[in-house]
Amino acid sequence: METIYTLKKQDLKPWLESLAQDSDVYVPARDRDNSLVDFFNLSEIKDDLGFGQGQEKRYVLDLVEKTKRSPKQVMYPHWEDLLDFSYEKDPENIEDEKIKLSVSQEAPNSIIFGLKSCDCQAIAKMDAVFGQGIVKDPYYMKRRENTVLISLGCDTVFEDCFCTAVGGSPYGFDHTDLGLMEDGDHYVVFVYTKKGNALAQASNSYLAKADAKDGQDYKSRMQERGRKASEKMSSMWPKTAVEDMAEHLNKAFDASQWKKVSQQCISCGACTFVCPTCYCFDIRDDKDNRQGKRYRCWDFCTSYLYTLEASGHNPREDIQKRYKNKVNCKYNYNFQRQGHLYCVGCGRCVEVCPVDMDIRQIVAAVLKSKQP
Amino acid sequence: MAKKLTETIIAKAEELFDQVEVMAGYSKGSNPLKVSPCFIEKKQDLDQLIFDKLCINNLATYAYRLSKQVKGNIGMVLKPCDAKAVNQLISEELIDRAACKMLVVGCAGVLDHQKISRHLGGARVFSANIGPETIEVETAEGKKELKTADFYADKCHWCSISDQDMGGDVFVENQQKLQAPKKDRFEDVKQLEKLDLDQIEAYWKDEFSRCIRCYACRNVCPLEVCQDQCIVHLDFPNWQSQKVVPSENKFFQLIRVMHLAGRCVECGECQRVCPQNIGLLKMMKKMNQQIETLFNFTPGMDVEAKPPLLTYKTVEENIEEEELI
Ligand code: SF4
Ligand code: SF4
Ligand code: SF4
Ligand code: SF4
Repeated sequence: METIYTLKKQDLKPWLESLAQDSDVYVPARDRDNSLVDFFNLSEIKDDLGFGQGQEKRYVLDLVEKTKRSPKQVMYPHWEDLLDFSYEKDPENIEDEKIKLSVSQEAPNSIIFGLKSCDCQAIAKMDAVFGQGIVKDPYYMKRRENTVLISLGCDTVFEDCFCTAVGGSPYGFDHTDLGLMEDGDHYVVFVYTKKGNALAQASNSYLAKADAKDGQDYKSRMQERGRKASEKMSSMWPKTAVEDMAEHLNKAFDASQWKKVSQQCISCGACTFVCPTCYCFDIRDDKDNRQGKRYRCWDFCTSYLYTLEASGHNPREDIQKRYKNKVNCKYNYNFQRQGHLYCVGCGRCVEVCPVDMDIRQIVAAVLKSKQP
Repeated sequence: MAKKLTETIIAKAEELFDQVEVMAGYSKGSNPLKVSPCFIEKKQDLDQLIFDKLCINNLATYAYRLSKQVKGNIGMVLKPCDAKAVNQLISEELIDRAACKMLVVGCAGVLDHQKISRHLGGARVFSANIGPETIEVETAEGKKELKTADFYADKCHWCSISDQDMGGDVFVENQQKLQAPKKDRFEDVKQLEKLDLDQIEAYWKDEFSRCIRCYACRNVCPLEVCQDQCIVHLDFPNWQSQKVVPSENKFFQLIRVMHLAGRCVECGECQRVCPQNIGLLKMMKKMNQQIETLFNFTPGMDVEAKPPLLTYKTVEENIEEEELI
């Protein structure tokens, strides 16, 4: 049986601070200056971070709200340098020019604390994108290997949460290293992996081992809590639809519904950039005279430029084709490729969309219209 | 009241519908504080239309795209301030006056859901009941009553458009009159200008450290019709790095400001849609202030007027020429 620990709430702060001594620890916090909840690097905001309500600091730890952006940028930053290049001439023979390349990548030890279950599922999906197949992405993988995930079960379900509709659950701890459950004046800490175990053992001045009987009790309570939270979630489509979703979407590829549901989309990158499972990137050069950097940066499939070809032809000229791709990527293509949906039901895209596109309703509408 | 207004709008839209191929309007949103733009192609679907205090979106965002997409005329439900954007597009000859049927609805002010959410410390709202005096919202922490007057969109506080002014094809009168308390349009700009340059620089650096370059601000703008060919994405020459760092993010925003000089109608959409709550409108207002002093021009008020930066005069009244050496 896995080991179970408890952590007193008052020890949370010193524990995280001790972890921050040799890792970058990311914590969800609200920036009061602009009401945004995001993951912040603890060592960067430490002096301005309050651990409870009522403290007059700029940031306050927030373990209830969803962060506006997903934690994907810890392992897959918005942009990163892939290599440095320079053109160098041979002083003896100036006709002869060589390109010099160098690669340097930082992959600090990182800990993400306070992940929601949906974000954890999403990281597992990212792992499949970057870490499977013939070529593994070294930039992502190096960071990923050095990252430990600490999740916290959700008891508050928001209007735009739908993890249960896509196969997740509020206490779905299956991809985390440590899973936390809030419990009165302490947290119960469940260990799931070797990485998690190592971290827990190194934290023995803060974590106390629970005895077997308490452990059993905590476990059954966790299951109960998960069940309760799931019940609060709205169901957008029948659960069984997940298995046939790909088939339905294939059939609905030419459905007239697509135009109707996507006409209001303004082709921005908001939904993609906050989504924990969107992984597309572009590769560009910033060149200054004879040297420069090649870097990659997030790209978004709702953009006109995403499929614009060098000839000037654009196979996805209309927004309806682009939005259709977005939905199919998440609910169809990746289901066929990887065997699971590439939407974890976090609802972030629903929240940020400037024109109120709701992917749940859109999928539901398209599922209804099987005929072209 | 809202119900009666909506009924009148639907009735007027029905009358107008024979002349248009598609009608852009508001419909019920996915969230209690949002409405959703909708595009109606069949007369019997007009009953989806709604109009209330949450209709903050400027549907002129779609005017240019729709007019390129459909062969016939387009119809739009517009607040008087939204009509400014359509007027500006007409005056720039980007859309054809005759092909755009404007259904202008008198406005009692619209609410800014971002302000409500900020007031609630970012907490999500499960349900809302909106009245002229109070807003009742329910969040994870329970029920709260808010004062409606505190949550109007900024632009409503200095709106001085008389409803019938906007040259629409049909006008629907609103029994309720503008309820937003009057405020100074440049208050936030003035506050910022009181600081010294270093502090202003630091302020914008902090703001733009949050920008995620999602381009929502650009794409929602009714006047940024060139978004698919935007210079910020060009490879050759590489004007703008795609690296998301404060200096580049600010540069992107300055491009927007320059390209909207004498065009921006201050509809506030760019600021409203920014997922990172960046106060973009200050920049736009500052530019408009300059344009007003230099050229005595307010965008969107007159379809016949030529926007000052789309034309030239041999002698500008308010600009002193530098002497040629
Ligand atoms: S769905 Fe919304 S957020 Fe996504 S690209 Fe379209 S307008 Fe932007
Ligand atoms: S598509 Fe939307 S709901 Fe699904 S994972 Fe992405 S942001 Fe979350
Ligand atoms: S909407 Fe906000 S975050 Fe997005 S590009 Fe504009 S300023 Fe940046
Ligand atoms: S720049 Fe912003 S305020 Fe001005 S017209 Fe465009 S969206 Fe509206």
